[in-house]
Amino acid sequence: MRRRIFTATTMFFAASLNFALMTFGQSNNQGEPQKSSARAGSITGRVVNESGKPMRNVRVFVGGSGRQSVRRTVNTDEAGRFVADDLPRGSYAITVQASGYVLVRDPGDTVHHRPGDSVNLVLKKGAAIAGTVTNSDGDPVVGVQMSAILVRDAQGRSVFGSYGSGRYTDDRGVYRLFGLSAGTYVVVAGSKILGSSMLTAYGDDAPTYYPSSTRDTAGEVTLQYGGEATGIDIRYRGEHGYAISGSIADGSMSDWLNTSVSVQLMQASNDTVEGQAFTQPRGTERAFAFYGVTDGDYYVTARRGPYQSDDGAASKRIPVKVRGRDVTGVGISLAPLGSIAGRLTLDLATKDVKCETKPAPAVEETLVSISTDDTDSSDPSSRFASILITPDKTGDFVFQGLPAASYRLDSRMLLDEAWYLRAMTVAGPTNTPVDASSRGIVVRPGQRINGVRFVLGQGAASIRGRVVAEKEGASLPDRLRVHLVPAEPNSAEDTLRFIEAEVQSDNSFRLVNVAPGRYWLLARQLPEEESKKRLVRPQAWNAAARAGLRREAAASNVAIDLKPCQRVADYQLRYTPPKEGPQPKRT
Amino acid sequence: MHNVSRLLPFVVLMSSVSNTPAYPLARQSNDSKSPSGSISGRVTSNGKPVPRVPVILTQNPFDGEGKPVARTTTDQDGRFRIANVPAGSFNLSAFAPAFVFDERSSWGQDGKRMTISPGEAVEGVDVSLKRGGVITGKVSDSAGRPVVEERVTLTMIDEQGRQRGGFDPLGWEGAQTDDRGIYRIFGVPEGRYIASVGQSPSQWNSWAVRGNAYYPLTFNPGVDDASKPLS
Repeated sequence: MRRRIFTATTMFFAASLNFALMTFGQSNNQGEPQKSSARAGSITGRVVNESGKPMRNVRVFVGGSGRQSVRRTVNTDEAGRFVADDLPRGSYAITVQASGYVLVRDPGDTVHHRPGDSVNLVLKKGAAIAGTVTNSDGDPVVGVQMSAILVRDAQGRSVFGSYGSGRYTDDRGVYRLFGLSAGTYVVVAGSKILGSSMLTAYGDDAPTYYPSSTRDTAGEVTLQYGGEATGIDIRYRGEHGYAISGSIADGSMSDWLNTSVSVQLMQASNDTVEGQAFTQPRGTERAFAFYGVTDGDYYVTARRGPYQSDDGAASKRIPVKVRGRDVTGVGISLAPLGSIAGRLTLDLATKDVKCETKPAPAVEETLVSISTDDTDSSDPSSRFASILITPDKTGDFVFQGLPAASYRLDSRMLLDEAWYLRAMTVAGPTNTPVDASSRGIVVRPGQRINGVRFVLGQGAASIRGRVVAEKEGASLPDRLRVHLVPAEPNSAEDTLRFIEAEVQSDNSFRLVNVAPGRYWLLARQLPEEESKKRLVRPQAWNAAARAGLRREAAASNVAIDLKPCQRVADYQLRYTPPKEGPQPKRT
Repeated sequence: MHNVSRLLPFVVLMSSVSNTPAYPLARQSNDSKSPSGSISGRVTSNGKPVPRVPVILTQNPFDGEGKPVARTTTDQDGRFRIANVPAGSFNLSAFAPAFVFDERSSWGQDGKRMTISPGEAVEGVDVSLKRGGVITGKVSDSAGRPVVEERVTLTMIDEQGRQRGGFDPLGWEGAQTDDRGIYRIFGVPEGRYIASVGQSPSQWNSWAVRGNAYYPLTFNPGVDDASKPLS
């Protein structure tokens, strides 16, 4: 009984965290249950640890990325192998959960796979943080909930909305948080991040960050996989905090009380999440409260997920100042969010060359991604990492719950290297298709955009290779990216033909799903300010950057002709630094 | 009937699922006109004061809403005073997870039940605590590898070996093994217990997104029946 309830909560909570970042759904216009496809198959794989040893008795989750998709859980056997069989065709996200371990993917690895694929997954032993929490008398603080909050990942990039969950201190005040990803953390006793409540003895207290501070001056703890930081002792301050409470109204829906609404409390100065609260219906509204909040400037935001044909709703940021007393009666109103819907088609026309690889993917085995165009948006709810969904069998897809912002859609990340994105259009004023690849799609508040069209063509080429230094033995600059720039004059403005990839730590790169044609290759450093952003956008999304890349690529003139279905391997790209003069700058 | 104070963190979680309020935002006072009462007393352990212990007054029976009627913290002499108590029936408990109540009359009866009439001042309430026992150990699989994030269950048994109920530690994770396979259950009342891990096949369910795949029910010290108690 207890386990059942707790795990349900965990799921609920995880869902609401995701939901707080971004919600998405899929077209729900197929009333009838999906029939199992004739081409059902299995996804097989193997789970190993860092040294290649099999991981047995590990749970593997195989989840279709559509709303009505099959979801399955399988366990690995003694050899670390798993089989998820009898899967209808579609694209499936493969994840693993093993206590104390973290699934670590190589940067190029895809999360999604389709029946017939074999998947190798590597689990690394998670890091641990341990210490003792005492009060000002030096006595142990017993039963206070502990959280480790990831602030930067192992690459030093800032992370938005990631929490290591809380265990309680024991009778000696000792805590141990484990199974953590590599990265930099702050550790907090009595945090409200996992939900705010008055129920525990410390509910009213302001949280104390390691070593004995507020969030602003919290000490940071950096962890490697398999590492352990001990002695992360906290002197608990036990200072009284205040309550922020109020209610949420949603004029856009009458029966919204049945949907879940999450409320977040954020520091106004740096947007870090301070607390998360659940809400309960109260009359025609929903009530919320945060407890144990210290003096300071905050924002409160609320968000409701999509509900049936409704795209979800969110509030503006409501500023709240706490000055030595409780703040009550905070009113939040929800306004409808927008959506982008469209259709993806696979062009099976004969003008394409068919590559002799796997059988052609079904449209429900492709993926469509969305990300915000504006990563510096003042509205943090519109900042999220790229989200992938799978179109349904008719190729229809919809991204729901979109705050007003400019968005970029893509379908380049295919499960099959034989296909490339040939066209991306949106219905123009007179319903004529207008190219949507060169700039983002702007969603105004509550706007529903329909008529996005993706066309995928066959015969894509790919290049795999390595960047080498200009002079032998010299080292390469960091943050290097390889760009493919269209060399044919009539493709010069085709954004879909600007393709770029990060250079890995072994100097390798991989450019796939490339339209056949003539290109220039160019290796360039990602500007430092870009690399610090939560989401690195393709440089070619910016018109000025495209022009700059084209100018530089033409000058260095490293050209390649890619024939349909050509697979270039072991390509050596010599890095030449940019010529003196102004670097192409983003505007 | 379970120990309310130990159940508190758990009730938070349950509330968020079942949609019952985890905290009332405006508790309707039963009768705002009737004069309010007060409760004062002392928290001790072995006759010595227990300072800085949270004292919590909850509605009796526990109303599921969760928010305590009142909370305070003992001073350096272990003394506390709760004012503005409305008339009603309450449970007075101290949030001291490492302790057990001295006067435990039967299994699971924790805290003091008290009924307050309008305007009544109850003084000299003695809350006497006893440091609870600690059961700690390590859980390994047949190959000697630590078993991580697995719950250890304590079952109380009497002299005849009959089961007498379970023990609810602080929160769900209070009885879970860590990444080294180590668990530590504290605040355990005196008695004889059987420690076990895993679940019988009937209990196992695919809901459990966290933690491990299924481990069969195993009793301390690594046998598969409940023959060997700890005490």
